Amino acid sequence: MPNIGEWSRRVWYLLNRSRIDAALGREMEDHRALMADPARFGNARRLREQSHDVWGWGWLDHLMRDLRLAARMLRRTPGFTAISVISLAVGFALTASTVAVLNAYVLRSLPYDHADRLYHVMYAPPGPWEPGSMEALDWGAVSDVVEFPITASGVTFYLSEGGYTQTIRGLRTGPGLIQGLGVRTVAGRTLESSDFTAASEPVALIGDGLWRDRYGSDPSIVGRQIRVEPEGGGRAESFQIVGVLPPAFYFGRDSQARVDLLLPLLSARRTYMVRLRDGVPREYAEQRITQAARTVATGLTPEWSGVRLESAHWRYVGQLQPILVGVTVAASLVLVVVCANLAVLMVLRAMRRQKEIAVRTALGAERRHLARMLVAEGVLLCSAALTIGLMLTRWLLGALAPVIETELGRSAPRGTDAIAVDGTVLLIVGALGVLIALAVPFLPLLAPWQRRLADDLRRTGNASTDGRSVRHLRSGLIAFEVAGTLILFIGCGLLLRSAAAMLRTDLGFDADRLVRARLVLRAADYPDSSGFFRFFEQFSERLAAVTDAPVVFSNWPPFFDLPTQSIEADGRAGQGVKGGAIQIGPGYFSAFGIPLRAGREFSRIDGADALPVAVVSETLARRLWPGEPALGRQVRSVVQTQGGSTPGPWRTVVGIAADVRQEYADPNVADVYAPLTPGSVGRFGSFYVRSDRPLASIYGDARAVAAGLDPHAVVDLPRTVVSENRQLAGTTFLTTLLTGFAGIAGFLAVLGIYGVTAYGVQQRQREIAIRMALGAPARQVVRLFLKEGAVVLGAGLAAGLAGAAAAVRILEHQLFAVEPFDPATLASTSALMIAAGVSAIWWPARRASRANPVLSLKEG
Amino acid sequence: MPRTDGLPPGTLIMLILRVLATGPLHGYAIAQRIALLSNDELSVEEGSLYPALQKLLLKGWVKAASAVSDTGRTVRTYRLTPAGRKQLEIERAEYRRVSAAISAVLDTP
Repeated sequence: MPNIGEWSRRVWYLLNRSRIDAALGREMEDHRALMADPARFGNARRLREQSHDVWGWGWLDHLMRDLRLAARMLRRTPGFTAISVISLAVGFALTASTVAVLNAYVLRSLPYDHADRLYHVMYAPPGPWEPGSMEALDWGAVSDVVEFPITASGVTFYLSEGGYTQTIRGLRTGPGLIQGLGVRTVAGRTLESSDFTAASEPVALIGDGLWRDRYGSDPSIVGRQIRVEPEGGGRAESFQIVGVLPPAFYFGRDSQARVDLLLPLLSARRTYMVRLRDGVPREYAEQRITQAARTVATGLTPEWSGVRLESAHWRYVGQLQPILVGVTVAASLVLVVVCANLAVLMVLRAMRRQKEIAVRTALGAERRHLARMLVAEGVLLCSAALTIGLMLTRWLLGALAPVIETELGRSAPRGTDAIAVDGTVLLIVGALGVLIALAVPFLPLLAPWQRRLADDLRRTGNASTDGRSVRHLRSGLIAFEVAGTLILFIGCGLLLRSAAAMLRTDLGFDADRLVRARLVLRAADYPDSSGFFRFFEQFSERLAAVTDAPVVFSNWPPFFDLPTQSIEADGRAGQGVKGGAIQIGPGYFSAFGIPLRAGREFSRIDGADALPVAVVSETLARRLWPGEPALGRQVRSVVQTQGGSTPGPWRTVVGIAADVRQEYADPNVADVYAPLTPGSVGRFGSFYVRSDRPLASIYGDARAVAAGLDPHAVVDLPRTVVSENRQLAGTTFLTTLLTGFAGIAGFLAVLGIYGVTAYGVQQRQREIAIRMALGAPARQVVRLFLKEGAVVLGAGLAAGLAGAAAAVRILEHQLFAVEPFDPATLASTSALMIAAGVSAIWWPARRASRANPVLSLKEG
Repeated sequence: MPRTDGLPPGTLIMLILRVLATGPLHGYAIAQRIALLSNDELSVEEGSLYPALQKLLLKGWVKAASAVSDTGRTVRTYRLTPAGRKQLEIERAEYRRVSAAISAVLDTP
């Protein structure tokens, strides 16, 4: 057993090698000099090598020698080396970026303790109502399955100390949240079980953001009293701060959902998240919780499917899965094309070195020595490419991580910084690099090297014919590249058409330069909802005067599907049509650019005590009153609630508006518009204004106008309506990405085809020269190569189309107005590929046909 | 294993250990001593001592020291370490055991 002493002696030898070897040489020389018969000493060189090998570093010497040789060989062909390293680096960069994004969203867990055991509780599937009294669920009864019920209830406060008021986000939680999520404070203590009794003094934990921004990270915050007013009205409350939350803590669907105050929850609320005990299977937990729920539930419908648990991580990233899978497949295809290209180049290079290889074989090199030589080259290329590729990745991710988060729609669970090259990414990409470095150089070896040495040495110049298997190998690789590139082209083409179709689609309103912002009023300041209504009225008037553009309110934003209600007509109760219902302020249609087909839009008189009126969309009018004028008819919408259905008042139709799509594939464009009335508004309002001015200036004006009316009113940051069009944004992002990928792959494929053809041309110089000298026109020469190339292109196209059949399924949900097997797209991308391939073949062939045949024959 | 012209593999190591047991020697002296002690029966390719010595150095059974001889030349002497002494005993015992077994096989009628 080699022990520590032996290992340390080995290392000492390695570090002092040259000195020790020299001394040994001298020692052996001295010994020899002393001998009467020096011949009996033995072969000094061999003995020195054996002495060296004893220390066990022989393999290192071989490796260094191989690498040095490989480096020398690579330096001799700078073109090949440069192209290989750059294309591999790009391939690695794309793969590493994709892996980094996958890592940040899918591989790394949510930033809580034992996040794999965190589950979201769904009392009912989305849509139907939840059973009642779920807050009475006894979690103690299922404590053998559920380790911590994580109950939380968000609440917004106003903090008015020290001069200005700001809204802060509070979270009332049960005791389970602290332990269940593993919340550790950076100062002070966490909430303890004694804090959760009604009799104890009110305490709270302060969030890192609030502590920094408002209190300047003052350590004396622990122990201070803080006084806040709840937003919904009610008495001011006072809390003693007992601890500070860590900087990265968040709770909610978004990692932007920061928590400013963490308070004990003292009343019963529904629990929407649990942490299960180790080893408890999800289905079993669902059963037990369903049982416990049944004992306290009220209002259960017979079809109630029971309580479902959804992994918290999955809930966060589940929607992103199709996009992530699509991007991964695209990046893999690019890497495959890059590797195929590299293999082709290596094969070509190996062909050129036949003579050198023949000599080596004659000197005793076996196949495995050649393999080692090629693998050494592969290792050098891959290491250089990996280094460059990773640097490129860091730069790419540094620049693009925020863009990626925006495009995916939600930020990475551990923050933007998580999308970076970390240990896992390095491991995966490194393993890929090793795989490629070892596998790709083996491809040239698939060709038989058992050649007759004499034949090879006898050949003059570089002209020689390759064996059939080598040609097949080359053609196979090229076909592979063509197939991969075609798949990318097709995906790209489909997305481009989707994006174009979306842009062409008339959504029914004009979103250009339209800006939306939210207003929040304090309930305590207004006795009833008519006060809110008056505020909104005055606000829109004054702001319109300032911005010189109409300001309108609406209770539902565009690009989100309207809630569906049953819409009845002309007193015919119970025979409603499904449609969307929305409430809007006066001037909505003109502000949004929605044309009116008949009648008028709402004005200020329709707001308050006037007769109830409505505007219907064209489709709704056609459906309710086919073939008859709709103006003057009666319509009402019926709201479904848990308690039953509540019909609204009967309204007279005063206008017919053009159809408006909320989404590109909006199936239902039958909508009814009702005016906002004092009774129907709450303290939240969203207003819209169309303006060229920067968002910051609109924000400033809005805040000024609001403060002029009510100093407690809060205006949120305005956003452009266009930025809320997630569907178009998602498709354009994917399109841009895939176009980039397809471009790189296409370029490489064309390069590969060109290289192979150029090589083939050079090989057959004599043949071409003879043909031309015998009178063949240049055209015929070119056609010769085109014919051969066409076979390979055809094979590649066929394989590509077959592969695309599988690959486009991934894109299906992203497509709009175009079928996955759209013939026009398939035809045009195939044509593009053919054109690119043919020109890559044509150019070197044409150059060959122009060469002077006599000169070529002379060179021979 | 260095070629030892007829010596079973591993015995060269044992011989060197034995020779050094009496005191430190340099390479040429070790070769001479082996020839002397065996009455020239064991003819060793003298150069093959050196790989064997390297192995002994690696295993820590022998330590080397440089000294300047009277003639002014640098001479490296090898000395046995305590671990080397122990190894010598182990190898001796093993050799005796094996050769006794071989003798038993050969000499049984």
